[in-house]
Amino acid sequence: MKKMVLFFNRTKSFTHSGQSKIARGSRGLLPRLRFVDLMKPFNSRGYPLDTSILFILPGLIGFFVFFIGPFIISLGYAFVDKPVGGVFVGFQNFTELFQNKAYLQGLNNTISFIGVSVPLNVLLSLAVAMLISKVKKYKGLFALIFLIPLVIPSGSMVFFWRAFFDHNGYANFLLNLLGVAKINWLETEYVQFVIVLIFIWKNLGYNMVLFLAGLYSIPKDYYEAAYIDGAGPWQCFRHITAVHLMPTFVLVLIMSIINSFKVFKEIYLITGSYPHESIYMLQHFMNNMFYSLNYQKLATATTVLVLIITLLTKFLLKLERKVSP
Amino acid sequence: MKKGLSTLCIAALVLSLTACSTAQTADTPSQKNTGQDVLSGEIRGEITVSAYETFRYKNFLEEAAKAFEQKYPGTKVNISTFSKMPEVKTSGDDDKKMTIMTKGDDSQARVDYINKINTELMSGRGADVLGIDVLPWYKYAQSGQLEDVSKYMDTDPAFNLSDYRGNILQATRYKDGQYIFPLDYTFNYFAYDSSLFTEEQQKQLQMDDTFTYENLIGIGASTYKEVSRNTEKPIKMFGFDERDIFRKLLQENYKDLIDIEQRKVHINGGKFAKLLESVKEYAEKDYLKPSTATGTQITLDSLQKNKDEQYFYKVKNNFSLLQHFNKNSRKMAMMDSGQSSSGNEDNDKIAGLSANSDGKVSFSYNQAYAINSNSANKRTAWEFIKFLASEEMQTSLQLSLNGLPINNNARSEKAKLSVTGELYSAMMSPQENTGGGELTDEQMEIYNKYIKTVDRFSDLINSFPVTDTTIESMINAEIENFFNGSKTADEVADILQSKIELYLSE
Repeated sequence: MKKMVLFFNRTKSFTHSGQSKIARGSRGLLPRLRFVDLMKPFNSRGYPLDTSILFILPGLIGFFVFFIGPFIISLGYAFVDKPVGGVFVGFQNFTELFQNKAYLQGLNNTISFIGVSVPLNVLLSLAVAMLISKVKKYKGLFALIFLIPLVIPSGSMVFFWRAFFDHNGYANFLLNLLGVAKINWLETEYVQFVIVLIFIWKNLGYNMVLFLAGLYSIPKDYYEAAYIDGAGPWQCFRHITAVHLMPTFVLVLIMSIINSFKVFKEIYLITGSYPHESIYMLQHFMNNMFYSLNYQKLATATTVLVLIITLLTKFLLKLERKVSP
Repeated sequence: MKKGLSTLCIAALVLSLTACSTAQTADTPSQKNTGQDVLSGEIRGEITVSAYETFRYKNFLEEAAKAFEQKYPGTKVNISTFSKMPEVKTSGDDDKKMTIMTKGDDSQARVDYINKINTELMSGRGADVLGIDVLPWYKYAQSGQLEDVSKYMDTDPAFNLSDYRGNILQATRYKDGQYIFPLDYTFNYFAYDSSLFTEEQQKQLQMDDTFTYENLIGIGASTYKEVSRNTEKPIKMFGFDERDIFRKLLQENYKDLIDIEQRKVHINGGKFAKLLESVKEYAEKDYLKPSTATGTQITLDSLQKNKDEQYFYKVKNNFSLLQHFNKNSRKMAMMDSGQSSSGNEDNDKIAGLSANSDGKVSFSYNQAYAINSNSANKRTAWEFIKFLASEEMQTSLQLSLNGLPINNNARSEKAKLSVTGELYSAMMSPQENTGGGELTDEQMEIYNKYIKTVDRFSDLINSFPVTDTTIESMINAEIENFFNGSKTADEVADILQSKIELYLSE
């Protein structure tokens, strides 16, 4: 019964987006059918089944088999004392996890990193997008320049970053020219600046494209009308750009938070499994737990992380719905 | 739909938990087994023994497996080893023959093996008996993957602890459990070149059973200064370079700096930096042999050249004790890396064991074994380990040439076989092989002196620091920055403190 309602709703939603007109205004009535619709299978109520489901199905099956399934199975490990022949221990693994110094260090560093790098990245990419949107010529070229870091393989860039921030690298060479003492960039707290820089360098282009798309979707008429009414640039930004960019802003925020977890790849390649304590992230903890095959800690940490990301995403989407025009 | 999905998730969660509980219930009897429960089982069926080091383990294990299967019909022992056999090159003529075995350190192969064993253990499979060579055994012990064999040692009437070196077994206990069972042990002792010391200094070197590097330098420093000033000959205080001496100093002080069992790190407390600084000071005072390029070929000429060099002190292992007492014995140089050298040994005398400032004397082993706690045939696995530690197998040449058997009777027997030369008969040509039979009076005298010294030194062993290959890699990488001058000792200590602390807190 529930299945039928689902299909009905889906059909309705597709109708709204203009992709299918099968069931427009036909709740509870027999639909008006075209010839092509006759080729489709029907459900028990006589409504044609939405074939788009069939296109989604392979991906959906893959998602369940390779993501949801293993995650649910791994949840089991979070509640036992050892992977084989384990005894159910309730929330003991969670209690221990929140007493684990390395985990807390990773959690603290990850939160600090997200807290600094995500807002910085969002603001910088917005600024760059607005500048590019104002440029009269070579818009595509500028956008391309900022997109290049996205397509450069991490391995080759890691080589550059290591050479740049090495104790005897280019950064210290430049400092030396300025008469400043060498800095141990990768093994002191300065490494935090390095990873924020790498994160922004890598993700600025992606966010910029999202913002550019958002900016282009705002009708020019709004700005013209506002200028005629005497609004200045700041008022235009505050009352038109910011308001209409809100859905994009939330999307960029979500993507930046997700991408901030991906910066681990570069950190790992530059500084290894055990970097300076200030950049030891949750992914370091989980990666090291994976290699030492400590399934309990790995599964528990994953569960907590998934929970945090789900709640955060849900909150951001709710916020978006609230503040969107 | 939401409700349906939630129900599905909960059902899956419950199912997975049920699956876990079911597995747990099935295993509960064996999990809670006392030694008696296992020992009441039959010695039969198939077991698998897995080790990384092919060179050290394979021949011995295959010999043992064959003998075990004959002794216990109905059993089958599968042996699996992982690393490549060393490259063997023989050079020289009939008079002087030299065989060099080069064993490359394939770190990737080691990591692959550890990952393989990890995966097998965590999935509830894996070998029944594990050779503990490169494995992080303390982690397995902690996560319940290894069997505490002390319950079998206590309850098995056929196992008598007094037949074995109790202090060696005691030293390898971890968190009140006996998770690994070493089959042999080796220790290092200091020897000195008596031709370079005054009578008074020699008396000082004979007074104690244990010495630290600092003690030795204190005794020999003034003479070294004088001798090295007045001679053209290549004389040094020690026959190894700064990295080697640092590793030895670290090994002696390991537990004070990194206590893996208690998860405590004291590297930035000053002691580690002091060790690094003292090594630098030794190098500056020219006490150490300059580093030789890695990959330098050892030839008969280079060995001859090595004999022309003189060192105040040498670090030798127990294998050299026999040669010390039996000057006429066939010389078999055991050179581990080609970096350390003993130089001229004609005037060598024994000083004492290498110890740290707290009197801790550590040892190493060639072979040790553990039982997988998920093994379906623990009874046979324990019997096989016991068989490996029996007199029959402990006198085998395949066990190790330089290791001392943990079995007391076998140690005496192996010593006799070493003195007569029978132990090495397999390695000799028929012309050379004159050993065997009863000990002559002269051989008996050598044997008595040798076994007395071995026992005296073995009694002093009281420590076996639990080490970890990841921590070793961290230290090796970081001290390089000190030796190449890019970081100070304190900087290195601070970085290592933070990294190792993080590693141990995971």
